[in-house]
Amino acid sequence: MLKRLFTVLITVLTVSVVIFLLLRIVPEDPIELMTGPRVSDEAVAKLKSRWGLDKPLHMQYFTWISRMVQGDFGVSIVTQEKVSRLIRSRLPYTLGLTTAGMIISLLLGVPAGVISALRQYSGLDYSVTFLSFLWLSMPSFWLGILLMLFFGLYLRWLPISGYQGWTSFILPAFTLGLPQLGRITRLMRTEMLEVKREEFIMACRAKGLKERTVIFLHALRNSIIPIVVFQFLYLPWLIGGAVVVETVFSWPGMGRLLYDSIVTQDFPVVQSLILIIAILTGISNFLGDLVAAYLDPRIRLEG
Amino acid sequence: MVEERRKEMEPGEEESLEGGSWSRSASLRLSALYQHKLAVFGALVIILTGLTAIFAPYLAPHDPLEMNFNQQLASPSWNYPFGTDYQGRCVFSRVLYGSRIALAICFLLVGIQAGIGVPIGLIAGYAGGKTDEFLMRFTDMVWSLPPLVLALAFVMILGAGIVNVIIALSIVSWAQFARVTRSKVQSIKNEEFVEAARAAGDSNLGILWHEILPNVLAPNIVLATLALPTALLQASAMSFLGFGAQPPTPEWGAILSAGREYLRVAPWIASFPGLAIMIVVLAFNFLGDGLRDAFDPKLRRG
Repeated sequence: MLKRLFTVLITVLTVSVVIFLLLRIVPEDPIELMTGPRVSDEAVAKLKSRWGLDKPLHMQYFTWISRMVQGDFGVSIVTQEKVSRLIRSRLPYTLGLTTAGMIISLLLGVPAGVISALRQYSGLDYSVTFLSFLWLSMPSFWLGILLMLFFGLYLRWLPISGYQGWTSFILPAFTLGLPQLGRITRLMRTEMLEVKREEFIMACRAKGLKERTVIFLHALRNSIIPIVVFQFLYLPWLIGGAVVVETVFSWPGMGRLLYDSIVTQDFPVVQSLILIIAILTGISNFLGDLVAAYLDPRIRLEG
Repeated sequence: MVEERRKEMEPGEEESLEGGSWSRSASLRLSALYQHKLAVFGALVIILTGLTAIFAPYLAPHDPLEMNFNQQLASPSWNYPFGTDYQGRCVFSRVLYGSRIALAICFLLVGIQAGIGVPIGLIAGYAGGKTDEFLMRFTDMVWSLPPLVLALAFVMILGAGIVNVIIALSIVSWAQFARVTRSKVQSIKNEEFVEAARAAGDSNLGILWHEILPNVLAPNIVLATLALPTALLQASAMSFLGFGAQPPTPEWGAILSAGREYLRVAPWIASFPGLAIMIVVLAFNFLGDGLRDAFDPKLRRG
């Protein structure tokens, strides 16, 4: 268990070094970016020492990372706002959106996969399979636009951009959740088919348990483990998807903030966002392992 | 060198030198694939898309870049099957030409991913020990991070453009090739045909090239087919966000992105390129799924 935590820590540290180097060395001089060319050398030197840019690189890194650890993420070059405040105001929206997307995909995907597996090779199975392929093949930005066109502009049922109360969640959450729903359904079907053939299920039947008990108490419990783990492991892709979905719906979350900051080359914000996303990813991978171990005592948490 | 050794082998050992009876059962597996109707359907759609890409100049009714200011935002008609955009360009012709860019991006991107991942997997699996641990730690690290987010960071530094998007996306998404290759190498590196080559004094490089590499091809081809749709989705998402192909280029994500501004008056501009992306991605997914079932059922868990 400790070893896994250690791995997460190493990953986050490595990402921090890479992100620091990438965004500090390669782009144009950030000072020039801030001030433009018509500023005296003295003023530039003053700014440089204020931002610590005159020190050697590894010192800059240590200053930066120790500030980050203390929760001081620096100031946005563009808006002069504190990055920590920016992120704190955006984080709940992204967490809410990804959670809603995950819930939609689980609530619809698990039953769909189970039904599909229980009625293998029926018309129902084929339709579910085809639909789940359809969902996971849709580009999320296109799906979002179609939903916007139909429910927002044509039917005028739902708000299409920004956040104006809970109904604003519906369209972006489905846009994020539907491709994931396709994946969950496929995976659930495969797992269920596999578990159905295992010996302990036969044993349950032989004991005379009702078919319903066998399926819902024993088969489902065992086939859902990989789904839960998958859901956690897939979070990074979901966050990537959130960047696109939030941009489509002008959602005030971290993904939209990342997009805006990349467009405006606001490097302190980009650095902090990517580091936070790396940390969130590490935590979710770790949680995935924990949940797997809790649901299935056979999985040991060594190594 | 290898040819000489083959002649010295007993007839029965010939097969193990080929790396099992892979080639013989391949035809069986291909027939299983044929029975997978969705996979056949997917393959047909991809062949059609390929033909569209090749013959785009003959199929397209208009030049994809030609502007016609008398026909701005015209709705779909016989002359303009998918309507026109805000500069009077034929959306149908642009989508047809877009298939060239889409296929080129897909294959190039996945080719580079495999080009990075397969050698790393080969070395890690074959060398074992500390090398293996180091390379796999690194691979797991890359694998666990959000590819699109990291790619955005790389594009921020490299600047926008299709080539930069391909570079950025391949840097962040080769890990699965390394993992699959490594596990396959580990499962065969102590087989008799490898031992035989080693006993015959083949160099490590020779063994990797002649004995191991042919055996890791099958799972990697399956994986590549499954990586193609993801590559198309990610690359077009980057173009949609404005970091990939730039405006006049008829790239599907870019056309869609430009059409967003005219959603209320001309929804066809944004709709048809998205449909094209979905059809190609769907076809690749059908084919990849069928290939996986036919060749490598174990990959399912990966």
